[in-house]
Amino acid sequence: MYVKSVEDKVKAALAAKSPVAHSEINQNLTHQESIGLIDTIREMERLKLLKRELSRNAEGKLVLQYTRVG
Amino acid sequence: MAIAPKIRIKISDNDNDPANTEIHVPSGFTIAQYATFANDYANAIDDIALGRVDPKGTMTIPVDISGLTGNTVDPNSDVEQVAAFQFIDTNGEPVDINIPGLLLADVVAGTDGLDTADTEIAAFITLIETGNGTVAPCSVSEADITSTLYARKETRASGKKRR
Repeated sequence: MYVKSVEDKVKAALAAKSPVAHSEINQNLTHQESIGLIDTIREMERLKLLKRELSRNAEGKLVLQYTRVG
Repeated sequence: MAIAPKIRIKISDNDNDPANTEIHVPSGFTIAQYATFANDYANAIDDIALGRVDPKGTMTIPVDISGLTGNTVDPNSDVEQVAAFQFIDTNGEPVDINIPGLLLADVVAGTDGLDTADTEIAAFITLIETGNGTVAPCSVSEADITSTLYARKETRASGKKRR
């Protein structure tokens, strides 16, 4: 379920800084938007607007983040 | 057809009932690279499971996955509660991954679906689809895993439930 408002929020987050943690985007969404988040992210990835990356935090665990492309 | 090595990880619940989950990875990496991936995979599993992940994963060779953080057994852990994922490889073939001891908070209320927007579920799925930068999981025929078909809660009798 692609959600246009989610794309706008993700774009705004990516414009402010790069990269952005998944948790940072997810916590600012409504329940309805959160349901569509992954589909929206995947569509944006397909359109080459962002890419998914896993990075290690201070504990050495992998954390999902998004980076603006182009 | 290439035969991909398989990594097996054991999870035990509060009754010390064990269950295993397995994943294929491409051949040709070093032992250290496999061990690093096994640690990452075990950590991702630990994030979405209530059971205790055994810090000794196995392949043809054992891999040390003792780098787990927060790996404790929750009183509500139950290996009969399974996080069932089905991915698709580049050939369209399904790849099933079942994680016993599901963290029930990751299930969307009123459904059997896992919350794929959850931070840790999303990281788990990304690890399967894109790898950890060195090793990416693959299908049994060593094809890349490209997308997720479903992620849901399933219940499977272990035959050992005591309470």
